Amino acid sequence: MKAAIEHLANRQLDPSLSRARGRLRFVGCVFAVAFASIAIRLVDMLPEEPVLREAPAQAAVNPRARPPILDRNGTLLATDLKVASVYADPSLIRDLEGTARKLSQVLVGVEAEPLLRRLRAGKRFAWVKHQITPREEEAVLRLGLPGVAFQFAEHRVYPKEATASHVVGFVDIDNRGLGGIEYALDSGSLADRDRTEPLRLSLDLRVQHAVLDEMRGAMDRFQAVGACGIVMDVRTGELLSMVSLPDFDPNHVDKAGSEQRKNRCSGQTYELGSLFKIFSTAVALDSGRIKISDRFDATRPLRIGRHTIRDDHAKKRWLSVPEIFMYSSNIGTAKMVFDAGGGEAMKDFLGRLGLLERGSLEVPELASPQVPSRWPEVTTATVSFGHGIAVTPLQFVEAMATLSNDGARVRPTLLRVDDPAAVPRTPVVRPEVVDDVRWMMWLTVAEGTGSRAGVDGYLVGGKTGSADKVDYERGGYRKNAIIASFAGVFPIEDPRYAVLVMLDEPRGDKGTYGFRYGGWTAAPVVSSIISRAGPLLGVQPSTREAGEIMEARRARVLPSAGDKQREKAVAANGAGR
Amino acid sequence: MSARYSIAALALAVAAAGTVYQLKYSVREREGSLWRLRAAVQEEVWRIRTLEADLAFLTRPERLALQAPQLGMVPVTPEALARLEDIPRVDQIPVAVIGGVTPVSAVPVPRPARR
Repeated sequence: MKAAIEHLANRQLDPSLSRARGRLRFVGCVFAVAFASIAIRLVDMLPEEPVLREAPAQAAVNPRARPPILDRNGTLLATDLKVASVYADPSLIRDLEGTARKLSQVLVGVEAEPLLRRLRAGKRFAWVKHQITPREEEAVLRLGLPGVAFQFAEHRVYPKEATASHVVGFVDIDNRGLGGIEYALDSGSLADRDRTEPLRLSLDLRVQHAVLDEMRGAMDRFQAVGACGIVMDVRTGELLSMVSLPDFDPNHVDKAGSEQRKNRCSGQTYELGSLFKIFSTAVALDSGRIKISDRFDATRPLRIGRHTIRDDHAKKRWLSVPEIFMYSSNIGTAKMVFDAGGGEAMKDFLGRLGLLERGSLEVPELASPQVPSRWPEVTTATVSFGHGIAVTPLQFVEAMATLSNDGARVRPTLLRVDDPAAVPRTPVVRPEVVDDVRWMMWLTVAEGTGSRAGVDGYLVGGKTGSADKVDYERGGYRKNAIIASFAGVFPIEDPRYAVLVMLDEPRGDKGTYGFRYGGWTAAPVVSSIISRAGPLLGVQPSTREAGEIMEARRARVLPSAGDKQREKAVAANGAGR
Repeated sequence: MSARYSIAALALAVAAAGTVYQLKYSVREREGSLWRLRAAVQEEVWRIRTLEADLAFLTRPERLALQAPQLGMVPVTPEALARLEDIPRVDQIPVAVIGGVTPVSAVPVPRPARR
């Protein structure tokens, strides 16, 4: 073999053979170049990182999967759990009766008779029980029954139950969001976000619980039919708490009635009464035509056409602007607004605060305010003390936050704000006006109608409100039914949080001497909320100097009201309307 | 020459085929184990989620509030908050010793008595 090869190699070649060989070599080169270029191109086409085939567990994006919902500190509010449901294939079961009996023994709420009927229906599939607990799952497995199997599906679970029900919302049996943030995740403002990332809300569960606890207590005590409590960060617009009562357990939403599902904070409008005097006073000062030291005649009721406007606790004397505010004088407020430019000025100002249009929030439960279409004198007067205009409590808090936040409007949000500096702020009110209003809110709590909202450790400012309830069936206002409210801001020297408590149809009790006005029913709730939430939120106690600055201003602006007269005024003002 | 090359090329081709076969086989095997691992991870994720939900359920504020008295827990009050600046720095507290005032850092700090 070897010799043969050597012989072939050493053989003298004839010229034709060597030509053929030369051609072959040429063709070989051409092929080599062609294959080499294909090989280079193939290497060139390789992706930079090898693409692995996705495992089926992740490849199929489950449309039912929902992101976990957390509060601002990472506490779990809603999550998907994989929950088993039991079904049976009757064609594989020999002993239908025995199977039905055994299953009914281990599954809570499953009875043998109806189950047997379902198994005998002649189909090859029958549900035994939906969404069983892990313990039940284990018990069924232990039975080892043929023809009985599980199907696993995501099921939404709300571990904190009713605590944030109106904010978080709820889902239907197919895991589709039907209310609150859950709805927004599917069809609302949050539909476009990554569904695997947990959603962080602005809520602080600790504050939410404190508010809920205090409000439940007030609801029970004053036998109110409903209530709303809101705590908002005035600088970022984050809602730390939003409680609407009565509430519901989102795990068992089918057991909740329409009254429980109703979001009274953002989905309902109310005439908030004297709370609006915050804005009326701001309108007056913002117009530049009225100074804080101006005085108005509140000796007699104000007559406009056939209407008469009275004060609930008439002082029957001339009142300065701060006195009108702290004693909540309807006559004085109406006169102030007339002097400031009347309906036009009021309408313009309320518009700037966003009270004349639908508010904005992530949840779908948003009501549009009911605002007057025309602004004749009598409407202007009633709006100035919060009647004839109905807004949602949330809108009110937003507007009040604007007046606490150096006059810059910040939109409320239910999502955590990571960079407070990036929050858009729209200046709508002059800072000097805000400063005056803030001081008057302090005065109202220090010695006016809101004295029961005072808190040890913090300087609080606020305003009481007690509005007659509109009678939607017969028109006009209902007797003996009011909306009692208190809107507070703390710490008033450098506002951080706005708190609103609104009670729907409270009744007075012995402790309030039968009074049901906001100063008696809602103000103490705000006081409790602030004293519980303030330390939780790390708000430093107000300093003595801050209080002295406020006091010094009182001595300057209210020199006429001597101590004795003021004491009398406080006593006479006991009704706190 | 060409025969030697041919044999070498053939051997190379067989070796390459063998390697490709090996490679494909191990890739398939690895894919299988990847799939199993992912499924196991997913299973573990569900388990963790269940435990998290359980923890969240057990730490409901209303449940904690019920147990607070037994645990000796009381609500925080505004007075309980203090600024860091309010606490005097240890080395700035003057301590009277015989022969004048000495910064406390110069004397041994007594341990606070346990209550």
